[in-house]
Amino acid sequence: MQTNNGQDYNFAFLDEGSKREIRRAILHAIAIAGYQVPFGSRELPIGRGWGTGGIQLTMSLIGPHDRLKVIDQGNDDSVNAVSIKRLLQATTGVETTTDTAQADIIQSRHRIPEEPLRADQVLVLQVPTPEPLRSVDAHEEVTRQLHADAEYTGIWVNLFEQLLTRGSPFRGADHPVTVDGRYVMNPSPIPRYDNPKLHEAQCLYLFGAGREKKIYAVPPHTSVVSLAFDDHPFRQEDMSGRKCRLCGAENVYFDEIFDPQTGERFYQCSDTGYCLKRRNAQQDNKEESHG
Amino acid sequence: MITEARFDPVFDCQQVFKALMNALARPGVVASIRPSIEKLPAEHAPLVASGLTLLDNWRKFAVFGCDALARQLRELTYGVPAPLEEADYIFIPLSCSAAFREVLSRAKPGTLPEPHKSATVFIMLERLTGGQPAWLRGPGVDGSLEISLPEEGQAWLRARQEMAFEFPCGIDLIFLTPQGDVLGAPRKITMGGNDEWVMSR
Repeated sequence: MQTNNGQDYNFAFLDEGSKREIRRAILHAIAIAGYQVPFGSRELPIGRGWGTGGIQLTMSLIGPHDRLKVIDQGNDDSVNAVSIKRLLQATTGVETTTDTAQADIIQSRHRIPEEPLRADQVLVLQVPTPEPLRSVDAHEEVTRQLHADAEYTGIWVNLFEQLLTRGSPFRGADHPVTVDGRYVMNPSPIPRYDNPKLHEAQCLYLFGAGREKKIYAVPPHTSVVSLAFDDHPFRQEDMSGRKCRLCGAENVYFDEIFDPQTGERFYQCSDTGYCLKRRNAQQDNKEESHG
Repeated sequence: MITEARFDPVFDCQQVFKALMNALARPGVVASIRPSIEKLPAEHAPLVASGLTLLDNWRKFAVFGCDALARQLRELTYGVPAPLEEADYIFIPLSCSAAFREVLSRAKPGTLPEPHKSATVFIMLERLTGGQPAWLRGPGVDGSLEISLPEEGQAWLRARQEMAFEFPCGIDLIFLTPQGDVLGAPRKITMGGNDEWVMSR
Protein backbone atom coordinates (compact mmCIF):
# COMPACT_ATOMS: atom_id res chain seq x y z
CA MET A 1 0.00 0.00 0.00
CA GLN A 2 1.42 3.39 -0.99
CA THR A 3 0.19 6.38 0.96
CA ASN A 4 -0.37 9.89 -0.37
CA ASN A 5 3.21 10.90 0.40
CA GLY A 6 4.64 7.97 -1.55
CA GLN A 7 5.73 5.79 1.37
CA ASP A 8 4.97 2.07 1.46
CA TYR A 9 3.02 0.57 4.33
CA ASN A 10 1.27 -2.72 4.94
CA PHE A 11 -2.49 -2.64 4.26
CA ALA A 12 -4.08 -0.77 7.18
CA PHE A 13 -0.68 0.40 8.47
CA LEU A 14 -0.18 -2.27 11.17
CA ASP A 15 2.05 -5.26 10.44
CA GLU A 16 0.27 -8.62 10.31
CA GLY A 17 1.75 -9.75 13.65
CA SER A 18 0.20 -6.76 15.39
CA LYS A 19 -3.15 -7.40 13.73
CA ARG A 20 -3.03 -11.04 14.83
CA GLU A 21 -2.42 -9.99 18.44
CA ILE A 22 -5.36 -7.58 18.32
CA ARG A 23 -7.61 -10.09 16.54
CA ARG A 24 -6.92 -12.73 19.19
CA ALA A 25 -7.83 -10.20 21.88
CA ILE A 26 -11.03 -9.28 20.02
CA LEU A 27 -12.17 -12.92 19.87
CA HIS A 28 -11.57 -13.34 23.62
CA ALA A 29 -13.35 -10.04 24.31
CA ILE A 30 -16.43 -11.21 22.40
CA ALA A 31 -16.44 -14.56 24.20
CA ILE A 32 -16.25 -12.86 27.62
CA ALA A 33 -18.63 -9.90 27.24
CA GLY A 34 -17.52 -6.85 29.23
CA TYR A 35 -14.15 -8.31 30.28
CA GLN A 36 -11.09 -6.17 29.51
CA VAL A 37 -8.58 -8.22 27.52
CA PRO A 38 -5.01 -6.86 27.78
CA PHE A 39 -3.12 -6.46 24.49
CA GLY A 40 0.20 -5.10 23.25
CA SER A 41 -0.86 -1.64 22.12
CA ARG A 42 1.25 -0.48 19.15
CA GLU A 43 2.88 2.85 18.35
CA LEU A 44 0.95 4.80 15.75
CA PRO A 45 1.57 8.08 13.96
CA ILE A 46 -0.91 9.66 16.38
CA GLY A 47 -0.46 10.28 20.10
CA ARG A 48 -1.78 7.78 22.66
CA GLY A 49 -4.98 9.14 24.09
CA TRP A 50 -6.10 10.40 20.68
CA GLY A 51 -8.03 7.33 19.67
CA THR A 52 -5.23 4.82 19.18
CA GLY A 53 -7.22 1.95 20.74
CA GLY A 54 -10.07 2.50 18.34
CA ILE A 55 -7.72 2.95 15.39
CA GLN A 56 -5.92 -0.33 16.12
CA LEU A 57 -9.25 -2.15 16.31
CA THR A 58 -10.40 -0.63 13.02
CA MET A 59 -7.06 -1.42 11.35
CA SER A 60 -7.35 -5.05 12.42
CA LEU A 61 -10.98 -5.35 11.27
CA ILE A 62 -11.04 -3.47 8.03
CA GLY A 63 -10.91 -5.04 4.57
CA PRO A 64 -10.50 -3.40 1.16
CA HIS A 65 -14.24 -3.51 0.42
CA ASP A 66 -15.46 -2.05 3.73
CA ARG A 67 -16.90 1.44 3.99
CA LEU A 68 -15.77 3.49 6.97
CA LYS A 69 -17.33 6.28 9.01
CA VAL A 70 -15.40 8.11 11.73
CA ILE A 71 -17.05 10.50 14.18
CA ASP A 72 -15.83 12.50 17.14
CA GLN A 73 -18.53 13.55 19.63
CA GLY A 74 -21.02 12.82 16.84
CA ASN A 75 -19.18 15.08 14.41
CA ASP A 76 -17.88 13.78 11.07
CA ASP A 77 -15.78 16.88 10.46
CA SER A 78 -13.87 17.47 13.70
CA VAL A 79 -10.06 17.50 13.57
CA ASN A 80 -9.72 14.15 15.38
CA ALA A 81 -12.28 12.41 13.15
CA VAL A 82 -10.81 13.82 9.94
CA SER A 83 -7.23 12.92 10.94
CA ILE A 84 -8.19 9.34 11.77
CA LYS A 85 -10.22 9.03 8.58
CA ARG A 86 -7.30 10.32 6.50
CA LEU A 87 -4.84 7.92 8.13
CA LEU A 88 -7.12 4.93 7.55
CA GLN A 89 -8.01 5.99 4.03
CA ALA A 90 -4.38 6.61 3.08
CA THR A 91 -3.27 3.19 4.34
CA THR A 92 -6.25 1.12 3.13
CA GLY A 93 -7.80 2.96 0.20
CA VAL A 94 -11.30 2.23 1.56
CA GLU A 95 -14.26 4.47 0.88
CA THR A 96 -15.47 6.70 3.69
CA THR A 97 -18.96 8.00 4.33
CA THR A 98 -20.82 10.30 6.69
CA ASP A 99 -24.03 8.25 6.31
CA THR A 100 -24.35 5.80 9.21
CA ALA A 101 -26.54 3.46 7.15
CA GLN A 102 -23.86 3.19 4.43
CA ALA A 103 -20.99 2.29 6.78
CA ASP A 104 -19.71 -1.21 7.54
CA ILE A 105 -17.40 -0.05 10.32
CA ILE A 106 -18.06 3.07 12.40
CA GLN A 107 -15.31 4.37 14.65
CA SER A 108 -16.53 6.81 17.24
CA ARG A 109 -15.34 8.94 20.10
CA HIS A 110 -17.98 9.62 22.75
CA ARG A 111 -21.19 8.99 20.80
CA ILE A 112 -23.32 6.21 19.38
CA PRO A 113 -25.05 7.37 16.17
CA GLU A 114 -28.75 8.29 16.29
CA GLU A 115 -29.71 5.86 13.53
CA PRO A 116 -30.12 2.32 14.89
CA LEU A 117 -27.21 0.11 13.84
CA ARG A 118 -27.73 -3.12 11.91
CA ALA A 119 -26.47 -6.66 12.50
CA ASP A 120 -23.86 -6.33 9.74
CA GLN A 121 -22.28 -3.20 11.26
CA VAL A 122 -19.53 -2.89 13.87
CA LEU A 123 -19.19 0.15 16.12
CA VAL A 124 -15.67 0.77 17.40
CA LEU A 125 -15.50 3.09 20.40
CA GLN A 126 -12.35 4.90 21.54
CA VAL A 127 -11.85 4.55 25.28
CA PRO A 128 -9.70 6.78 27.50
CA THR A 129 -10.35 5.03 30.84
CA PRO A 130 -11.49 1.42 30.48
CA GLU A 131 -11.27 0.43 34.16
CA PRO A 132 -14.44 1.29 36.14
CA LEU A 133 -12.66 0.27 39.34
CA ARG A 134 -9.68 2.61 38.87
CA SER A 135 -11.19 5.15 41.26
CA VAL A 136 -11.54 2.33 43.81
CA ASP A 137 -7.95 1.09 43.56
CA ALA A 138 -4.99 2.35 41.55
CA HIS A 139 -3.38 -1.08 41.14
CA GLU A 140 -4.16 -3.26 38.14
CA GLU A 141 -3.49 -6.43 40.14
CA VAL A 142 -6.15 -5.43 42.69
CA THR A 143 -8.81 -4.35 40.20
CA ARG A 144 -8.27 -7.56 38.21
CA GLN A 145 -8.97 -9.58 41.38
CA LEU A 146 -12.01 -7.43 42.19
CA HIS A 147 -13.41 -8.22 38.74
CA ALA A 148 -12.61 -11.91 39.29
CA ASP A 149 -14.64 -11.86 42.50
CA ALA A 150 -17.38 -9.66 40.94
CA GLU A 151 -16.70 -7.38 43.92
CA TYR A 152 -18.14 -4.06 42.82
CA THR A 153 -19.02 -2.54 46.21
CA GLY A 154 -16.47 0.26 45.62
CA ILE A 155 -18.30 1.49 42.52
CA TRP A 156 -21.66 1.48 44.34
CA VAL A 157 -20.10 3.45 47.20
CA ASN A 158 -18.69 5.96 44.67
CA LEU A 159 -22.13 6.42 43.14
CA PHE A 160 -23.70 6.79 46.59
CA GLU A 161 -21.13 9.42 47.55
CA GLN A 162 -21.95 11.24 44.34
CA LEU A 163 -25.63 11.10 45.23
CA LEU A 164 -24.91 12.63 48.66
CA THR A 165 -22.59 15.35 47.40
CA ARG A 166 -24.21 16.26 44.06
CA GLY A 167 -27.77 15.07 44.45
CA SER A 168 -27.58 12.51 41.62
CA PRO A 169 -25.76 9.18 41.35
CA PHE A 170 -25.39 9.56 37.59
CA ARG A 171 -22.22 10.58 35.84
CA GLY A 172 -22.44 13.05 32.97
CA ALA A 173 -20.72 10.58 30.66
CA ASP A 174 -19.12 7.13 30.96
CA HIS A 175 -21.79 6.03 33.44
CA PRO A 176 -20.91 2.39 34.30
CA VAL A 177 -23.02 -0.54 33.14
CA THR A 178 -23.32 -4.22 34.03
CA VAL A 179 -22.82 -6.48 31.02
CA ASP A 180 -24.66 -9.80 30.85
CA GLY A 181 -25.19 -9.69 34.62
CA ARG A 182 -21.48 -10.19 35.33
CA TYR A 183 -18.88 -7.53 34.51
CA VAL A 184 -19.19 -3.86 35.37
CA MET A 185 -17.87 -1.92 32.40
CA ASN A 186 -17.14 1.67 31.43
CA PRO A 187 -19.05 2.27 28.20
CA SER A 188 -16.48 4.95 27.16
CA PRO A 189 -17.48 8.60 27.68
CA ILE A 190 -20.76 8.39 25.77
CA PRO A 191 -23.58 10.47 27.28
CA ARG A 192 -26.11 8.56 29.40
CA TYR A 193 -28.49 9.21 26.53
CA ASP A 194 -26.56 6.53 24.55
CA ASN A 195 -26.28 3.89 27.30
CA PRO A 196 -29.59 2.12 26.44
CA LYS A 197 -28.41 1.68 22.84
CA LEU A 198 -25.89 -0.89 24.12
CA HIS A 199 -28.65 -3.10 25.54
CA GLU A 200 -29.77 -6.02 23.33
CA ALA A 201 -28.37 -4.23 20.27
CA GLN A 202 -28.29 -5.64 16.75
CA CYS A 203 -24.65 -4.70 16.14
CA LEU A 204 -21.34 -5.67 17.71
CA TYR A 205 -19.69 -3.03 19.91
CA LEU A 206 -15.90 -3.10 20.29
CA PHE A 207 -14.04 -0.87 22.75
CA GLY A 208 -10.35 -0.07 22.39
CA ALA A 209 -8.12 1.71 24.92
CA GLY A 210 -4.70 2.23 23.30
CA ARG A 211 -3.02 4.03 26.20
CA GLU A 212 -4.39 1.58 28.78
CA LYS A 213 -3.83 -1.40 26.44
CA LYS A 214 -7.26 -2.99 26.83
CA ILE A 215 -9.87 -4.31 24.42
CA TYR A 216 -13.43 -5.26 25.39
CA ALA A 217 -16.70 -5.96 23.65
CA VAL A 218 -20.46 -6.11 23.90
CA PRO A 219 -21.82 -8.75 21.49
CA PRO A 220 -25.24 -8.27 19.87
CA HIS A 221 -28.31 -9.25 21.91
CA THR A 222 -26.52 -8.91 25.23
CA SER A 223 -28.02 -7.43 28.38
CA VAL A 224 -26.41 -4.08 29.32
CA VAL A 225 -27.88 -2.40 32.40
CA SER A 226 -26.80 1.04 33.62
CA LEU A 227 -25.98 1.12 37.35
CA ALA A 228 -28.70 2.79 39.42
CA PHE A 229 -30.32 2.56 42.84
CA ASP A 230 -33.85 1.27 43.45
CA ASP A 231 -34.95 4.70 44.70
CA HIS A 232 -32.94 6.51 41.98
CA PRO A 233 -33.75 4.64 38.76
CA PHE A 234 -31.52 5.26 35.75
CA ARG A 235 -32.32 8.46 33.88
CA GLN A 236 -31.02 9.77 30.57
CA GLU A 237 -30.35 13.47 30.02
CA ASP A 238 -33.62 15.36 29.53
CA MET A 239 -33.78 16.57 25.93
CA SER A 240 -37.47 17.45 26.00
CA GLY A 241 -38.56 20.85 24.65
CA ARG A 242 -35.44 21.18 22.51
CA LYS A 243 -35.29 21.29 18.76
CA CYS A 244 -32.38 21.26 16.28
CA ARG A 245 -31.96 24.75 14.80
CA LEU A 246 -30.81 23.22 11.49
CA CYS A 247 -33.07 20.23 10.82
CA GLY A 248 -35.80 20.63 13.45
CA ALA A 249 -35.17 17.20 14.99
CA GLU A 250 -36.57 16.53 18.46
CA ASN A 251 -35.76 13.79 20.97
CA VAL A 252 -32.16 13.36 19.83
CA TYR A 253 -28.94 14.26 21.67
CA PHE A 254 -28.09 17.94 21.20
CA ASP A 255 -25.05 20.19 21.29
CA GLU A 256 -25.82 23.45 23.08
CA ILE A 257 -24.49 26.62 21.48
CA PHE A 258 -24.46 29.87 23.43
CA ASP A 259 -24.34 33.25 21.75
CA PRO A 260 -22.63 35.67 24.22
CA GLN A 261 -23.76 38.70 22.16
CA THR A 262 -27.46 38.00 22.46
CA GLY A 263 -27.45 35.57 25.40
CA GLU A 264 -29.44 33.11 23.30
CA ARG A 265 -29.03 29.35 23.49
CA PHE A 266 -29.34 27.19 20.40
CA TYR A 267 -29.48 23.46 20.03
CA GLN A 268 -28.34 21.36 17.13
CA CYS A 269 -28.01 17.62 16.55
CA SER A 270 -24.79 16.26 18.03
CA ASP A 271 -24.81 13.59 15.27
CA THR A 272 -23.90 15.73 12.24
CA GLY A 273 -24.36 12.88 9.73
CA TYR A 274 -27.92 12.34 10.95
CA CYS A 275 -28.64 16.08 10.82
CA LEU A 276 -27.23 16.40 7.28
CA LYS A 277 -29.26 13.42 6.09
CA ARG A 278 -32.45 14.94 7.47
CA ARG A 279 -31.70 18.31 5.87
CA ASN A 280 -30.96 16.70 2.50
CA ALA A 281 -34.23 14.76 2.70
CA GLN A 282 -36.11 17.97 3.56
CA GLN A 283 -34.46 19.72 0.60
CA ASP A 284 -35.38 16.86 -1.75
CA ASN A 285 -38.99 16.94 -0.53
CA LYS A 286 -39.12 20.70 -1.06
CA GLU A 287 -37.76 20.41 -4.61
CA GLU A 288 -40.22 17.61 -5.41
CA SER A 289 -43.17 19.61 -4.16
CA HIS A 290 -42.03 22.63 -6.23
CA GLY A 291 -41.04 20.49 -9.18
CA MET B 1 -1.37 -6.39 -4.03
CA ILE B 2 -4.41 -8.65 -3.70
CA THR B 3 -3.52 -12.19 -4.77
CA GLU B 4 -6.52 -13.91 -6.34
CA ALA B 5 -5.33 -17.51 -6.61
CA ARG B 6 -3.34 -18.19 -3.46
CA PHE B 7 -4.20 -17.66 0.20
CA ASP B 8 -3.22 -14.09 0.93
CA PRO B 9 -1.73 -13.58 4.40
CA VAL B 10 -3.19 -10.06 4.55
CA PHE B 11 -6.57 -10.15 2.84
CA ASP B 12 -7.60 -13.78 3.34
CA CYS B 13 -6.56 -13.68 7.00
CA GLN B 14 -8.75 -10.56 7.37
CA GLN B 15 -11.69 -12.39 5.78
CA VAL B 16 -11.21 -15.49 7.93
CA PHE B 17 -10.88 -13.37 11.07
CA LYS B 18 -14.07 -11.50 10.26
CA ALA B 19 -15.95 -14.78 9.80
CA LEU B 20 -14.59 -16.11 13.12
CA MET B 21 -15.51 -12.82 14.82
CA ASN B 22 -19.06 -12.91 13.43
CA ALA B 23 -19.42 -16.59 14.37
CA LEU B 24 -18.48 -15.86 18.00
CA ALA B 25 -20.54 -12.66 18.15
CA ARG B 26 -23.63 -14.47 16.80
CA PRO B 27 -23.49 -18.01 18.16
CA GLY B 28 -25.47 -20.47 16.10
CA VAL B 29 -25.50 -18.28 12.97
CA VAL B 30 -23.35 -19.85 10.26
CA ALA B 31 -20.58 -17.72 8.73
CA SER B 32 -18.45 -18.77 5.75
CA ILE B 33 -14.75 -18.81 4.91
CA ARG B 34 -15.27 -20.69 1.65
CA PRO B 35 -13.58 -18.20 -0.75
CA SER B 36 -10.42 -18.25 1.39
CA ILE B 37 -10.14 -22.00 1.98
CA GLU B 38 -10.59 -22.75 -1.72
CA LYS B 39 -7.09 -21.33 -2.14
CA LEU B 40 -5.58 -23.91 0.23
CA PRO B 41 -5.00 -27.68 -0.27
CA ALA B 42 -8.34 -29.33 0.52
CA GLU B 43 -7.24 -31.50 3.46
CA HIS B 44 -7.77 -29.64 6.75
CA ALA B 45 -8.10 -26.35 4.83
CA PRO B 46 -10.48 -24.65 7.33
CA LEU B 47 -8.17 -25.55 10.24
CA VAL B 48 -5.11 -24.34 8.35
CA ALA B 49 -6.87 -21.07 7.45
CA SER B 50 -7.82 -20.53 11.12
CA GLY B 51 -4.24 -21.31 12.17
CA LEU B 52 -2.80 -18.89 9.63
CA THR B 53 -5.13 -16.20 10.97
CA LEU B 54 -4.42 -16.61 14.68
CA LEU B 55 -1.12 -18.43 15.26
CA ASP B 56 2.40 -17.11 15.49
CA ASN B 57 5.41 -17.68 17.72
CA TRP B 58 3.57 -15.98 20.61
CA ARG B 59 0.89 -18.65 20.88
CA LYS B 60 0.87 -22.35 21.69
CA PHE B 61 -1.27 -24.82 19.80
CA ALA B 62 -2.12 -28.53 19.80
CA VAL B 63 -3.51 -30.77 17.10
CA PHE B 64 -5.39 -33.81 18.35
CA GLY B 65 -4.53 -37.03 16.50
CA CYS B 66 -2.84 -35.66 13.36
CA ASP B 67 0.91 -35.09 13.45
CA ALA B 68 1.02 -34.05 9.80
CA LEU B 69 -1.34 -31.13 10.46
CA ALA B 70 0.66 -30.16 13.55
CA ARG B 71 3.85 -30.09 11.45
CA GLN B 72 2.13 -28.10 8.73
CA LEU B 73 0.83 -25.48 11.17
CA ARG B 74 4.24 -25.24 12.83
CA GLU B 75 5.95 -24.68 9.48
CA LEU B 76 3.39 -22.20 8.18
CA THR B 77 2.85 -20.08 11.29
CA TYR B 78 5.82 -20.62 13.67
CA GLY B 79 3.19 -21.38 16.31
CA VAL B 80 4.57 -23.34 19.26
CA PRO B 81 3.36 -26.97 19.54
CA ALA B 82 2.31 -27.76 23.11
CA PRO B 83 0.41 -30.37 25.14
CA LEU B 84 -3.39 -29.93 25.30
CA GLU B 85 -3.11 -28.49 28.84
CA GLU B 86 -0.98 -25.55 27.65
CA ALA B 87 -2.42 -24.89 24.18
CA ASP B 88 -4.12 -21.58 23.42
CA TYR B 89 -5.63 -23.05 20.26
CA ILE B 90 -6.58 -26.69 19.76
CA PHE B 91 -7.35 -28.14 16.35
CA ILE B 92 -9.50 -31.26 15.98
CA PRO B 93 -9.49 -32.87 12.51
CA LEU B 94 -12.56 -34.67 11.12
CA SER B 95 -11.39 -38.13 12.18
CA CYS B 96 -11.06 -37.08 15.84
CA SER B 97 -14.29 -35.15 16.43
CA ALA B 98 -15.39 -37.78 18.98
CA ALA B 99 -12.50 -36.91 21.32
CA PHE B 100 -14.50 -34.27 23.21
CA ARG B 101 -14.10 -35.73 26.71
CA GLU B 102 -10.33 -35.98 26.60
CA VAL B 103 -9.85 -32.59 24.93
CA LEU B 104 -12.25 -30.65 27.16
CA SER B 105 -10.96 -32.24 30.36
CA ARG B 106 -7.37 -31.32 29.49
CA ALA B 107 -7.80 -27.93 27.78
CA LYS B 108 -7.14 -24.84 29.90
CA PRO B 109 -10.22 -22.84 30.96
CA GLY B 110 -8.31 -19.73 32.13
CA THR B 111 -8.48 -18.33 35.65
CA LEU B 112 -11.03 -16.02 37.27
CA PRO B 113 -8.66 -13.00 37.15
CA GLU B 114 -7.38 -13.92 33.67
CA PRO B 115 -10.14 -15.80 31.83
CA HIS B 116 -8.63 -14.88 28.44
CA LYS B 117 -5.79 -17.32 29.12
CA SER B 118 -8.09 -20.12 28.02
CA ALA B 119 -8.23 -22.46 25.04
CA THR B 120 -10.23 -22.03 21.86
CA VAL B 121 -11.03 -25.35 20.19
CA PHE B 122 -11.54 -25.62 16.40
CA ILE B 123 -13.55 -28.74 15.57
CA MET B 124 -14.05 -30.13 12.08
CA LEU B 125 -17.45 -31.69 11.35
CA GLU B 126 -18.82 -33.08 8.08
CA ARG B 127 -21.70 -30.58 8.27
CA LEU B 128 -23.37 -28.15 10.68
CA THR B 129 -26.96 -29.30 10.16
CA GLY B 130 -28.93 -32.55 10.04
CA GLY B 131 -28.92 -33.40 13.76
CA GLN B 132 -31.70 -33.33 16.33
CA PRO B 133 -33.16 -29.86 16.89
CA ALA B 134 -31.70 -28.08 19.92
CA TRP B 135 -31.59 -24.49 21.09
CA LEU B 136 -28.78 -22.16 22.03
CA ARG B 137 -29.00 -19.37 24.57
CA GLY B 138 -26.58 -16.75 25.84
CA PRO B 139 -24.88 -13.48 24.85
CA GLY B 140 -25.13 -12.93 21.10
CA VAL B 141 -28.34 -14.95 20.75
CA ASP B 142 -31.66 -13.11 20.40
CA GLY B 143 -33.64 -15.03 23.04
CA SER B 144 -33.04 -18.57 21.88
CA LEU B 145 -31.96 -19.96 18.53
CA GLU B 146 -32.82 -23.38 17.16
CA ILE B 147 -29.93 -25.29 15.59
CA SER B 148 -29.60 -28.80 14.19
CA LEU B 149 -25.91 -29.44 14.76
CA PRO B 150 -25.07 -33.16 14.18
CA GLU B 151 -24.69 -35.35 17.26
CA GLU B 152 -20.85 -35.20 17.10
CA GLY B 153 -21.09 -31.42 17.49
CA GLN B 154 -23.82 -31.41 20.13
CA ALA B 155 -21.72 -33.85 22.17
CA TRP B 156 -19.01 -31.16 22.53
CA LEU B 157 -21.53 -28.59 23.75
CA ARG B 158 -23.16 -31.07 26.13
CA ALA B 159 -19.81 -32.21 27.56
CA ARG B 160 -18.71 -28.58 28.08
CA GLN B 161 -21.96 -27.82 29.89
CA GLU B 162 -21.55 -30.90 32.12
CA MET B 163 -18.10 -29.70 33.14
CA ALA B 164 -19.76 -26.52 34.50
CA PHE B 165 -16.79 -24.15 34.36
CA GLU B 166 -17.30 -21.17 36.61
CA PHE B 167 -17.80 -18.20 34.30
CA PRO B 168 -15.73 -16.26 33.20
CA CYS B 169 -13.56 -19.38 32.98
CA GLY B 170 -14.41 -21.69 30.10
CA ILE B 171 -13.51 -23.00 26.69
CA ASP B 172 -14.67 -21.47 23.42
CA LEU B 173 -15.73 -23.81 20.62
CA ILE B 174 -15.70 -23.11 16.89
CA PHE B 175 -17.13 -25.72 14.50
CA LEU B 176 -15.98 -25.81 10.88
CA THR B 177 -16.88 -27.89 7.83
CA PRO B 178 -14.78 -28.85 4.78
CA GLN B 179 -17.01 -26.47 2.77
CA GLY B 180 -15.90 -23.53 4.95
CA ASP B 181 -18.98 -23.06 7.11
CA VAL B 182 -18.25 -21.73 10.61
CA LEU B 183 -20.40 -21.86 13.75
CA GLY B 184 -19.23 -20.38 17.04
CA ALA B 185 -20.22 -21.32 20.57
CA PRO B 186 -18.43 -19.11 23.13
CA ARG B 187 -18.11 -20.32 26.72
CA LYS B 188 -21.30 -18.68 28.02
CA ILE B 189 -23.54 -20.33 25.40
CA THR B 190 -25.80 -23.08 26.68
CA MET B 191 -27.60 -25.72 24.67
CA GLY B 192 -30.87 -27.43 25.46
CA GLY B 193 -32.95 -30.14 23.82
CA ASN B 194 -36.13 -29.30 21.95
CA ASP B 195 -38.36 -30.65 24.76
CA GLU B 196 -36.69 -28.34 27.30
CA TRP B 197 -37.12 -25.45 24.90
CA VAL B 198 -40.85 -26.07 24.58
CA MET B 199 -41.20 -26.30 28.38
CA SER B 200 -39.30 -23.10 29.00
CA ARG B 201 -41.38 -21.01 26.55
